[in-house]
Amino acid sequence: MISERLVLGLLWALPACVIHESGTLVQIDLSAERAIALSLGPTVRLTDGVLLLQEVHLEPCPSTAAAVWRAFAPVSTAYAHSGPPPSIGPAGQAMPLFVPALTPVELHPAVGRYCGVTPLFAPSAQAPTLQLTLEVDTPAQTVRIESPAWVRPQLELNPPLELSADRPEAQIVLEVDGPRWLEGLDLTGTSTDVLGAALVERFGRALLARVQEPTP
Amino acid sequence: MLRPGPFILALFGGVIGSRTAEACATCACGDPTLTVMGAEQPFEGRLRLSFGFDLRSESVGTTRVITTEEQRLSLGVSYAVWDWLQVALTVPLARRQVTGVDLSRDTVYNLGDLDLRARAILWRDRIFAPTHLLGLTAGLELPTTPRAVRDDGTPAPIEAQVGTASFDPLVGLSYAFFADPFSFYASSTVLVPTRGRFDLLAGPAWLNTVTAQLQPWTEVAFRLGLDARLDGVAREGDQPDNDTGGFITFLSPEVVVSPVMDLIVRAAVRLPIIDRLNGDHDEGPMVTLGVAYDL
Repeated sequence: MISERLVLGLLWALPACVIHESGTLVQIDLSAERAIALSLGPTVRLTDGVLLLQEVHLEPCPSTAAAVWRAFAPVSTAYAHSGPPPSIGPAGQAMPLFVPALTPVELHPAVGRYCGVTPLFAPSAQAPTLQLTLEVDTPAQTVRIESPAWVRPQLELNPPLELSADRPEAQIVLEVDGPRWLEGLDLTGTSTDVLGAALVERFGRALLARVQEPTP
Repeated sequence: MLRPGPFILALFGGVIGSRTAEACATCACGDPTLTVMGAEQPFEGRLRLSFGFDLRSESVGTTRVITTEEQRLSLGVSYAVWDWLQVALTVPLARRQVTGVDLSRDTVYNLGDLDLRARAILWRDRIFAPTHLLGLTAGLELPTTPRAVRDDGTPAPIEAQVGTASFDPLVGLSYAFFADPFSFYASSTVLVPTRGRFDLLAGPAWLNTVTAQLQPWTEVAFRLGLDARLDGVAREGDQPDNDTGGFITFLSPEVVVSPVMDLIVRAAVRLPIIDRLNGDHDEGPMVTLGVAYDL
């Protein structure tokens, strides 16, 4: 007769069977042109550039009722974004300007429509927010900038990002409008601290976000 | 002498294997001893085999909503050592599927926490065919749930684990009343979980069942009951889970059929009618099917 102990032992030895299926996946990439011709100044060539991304939130599209209320409400009201939590660790994630990141920024948000994306570029204990090397042609000069300044631009996604069971994956590209970023800055005559802070602040204003189909 | 029909059917008032687990760590409802041991006065030496099947669902959380669907098979065996003491063992086997808001999904097939219980008859109004029966139940859930681990070596989320893998003692009182063709059963049980191997400390739970039975025919009975549960807040690690705990009551209609002697088949639904669960936590209706056979 099979003993109770043997039965229990066999039950315990049974391995749990786990089937895991991946869900949504949104990759965030950064993109910039290397050569930027400024209308009021020299041509600038960016030779190296990295920004440190600390957080990124996807902003759900407001419901129709909420949009109507905000449009016609007699008083302004605050509303909380309920995007998914950031998926970036405490050290942040370095995002190169010109080459794909070694470790892509990946989010796993809820299905739905997202009308905005809010990245936070900020320093960590180990690295500054911005590390940039650029070459100016007139007068020929190489400028190296590091800045601990931070910026949190709120970027619109138009058309919105739509995630569903049929379309669970997407890619958001943060494109840098080079002239808008650098136009009007004195790249060679300003102290690196001041220039670095200005570059970070204007970087936020020069960003555009768009959704593109994921690369296979 | 007791008539077999009402006697047998009255045993079967409650919940077959309705203990469910965990994330909602004590999402149990009803009194599982009714299935495994029955409510009636035991016959010395009686051996009962039973199995139950439960289907339930719930959703927990806001920004990280987890939807859980569970099918649970509970294999039970009970033995009446004397006519005043029964012991029982229940082995739960479960398929649990949890789906996140990001559509990621874990489906786990696993053994749950074994349930050991004993019930002693404290008082009865007479030796044979008692009308009133008062019992004391004590038990212990054993940490037998193996940790479910994905193929890449990462553990499945706590919501997908089919048990808490903890020692959970419990104690309760039950009262049964028999007056053919009616019967009545009530029980109140307190479960005090300890921290388990998954570092989850489920909140204490107070489980209550009140159910009335009408048995118009020997082979068929109808039951209507209320199953209420009051839970404390669970703690995952050091953090309280604010979407656990609270109070919920189910309305539980069911049909019990005894097609042949010593065999009981039952079907029940459990409908949540009072939901005062904490945070964002919704439990759906439950479906329960069960079979028990006395050897």
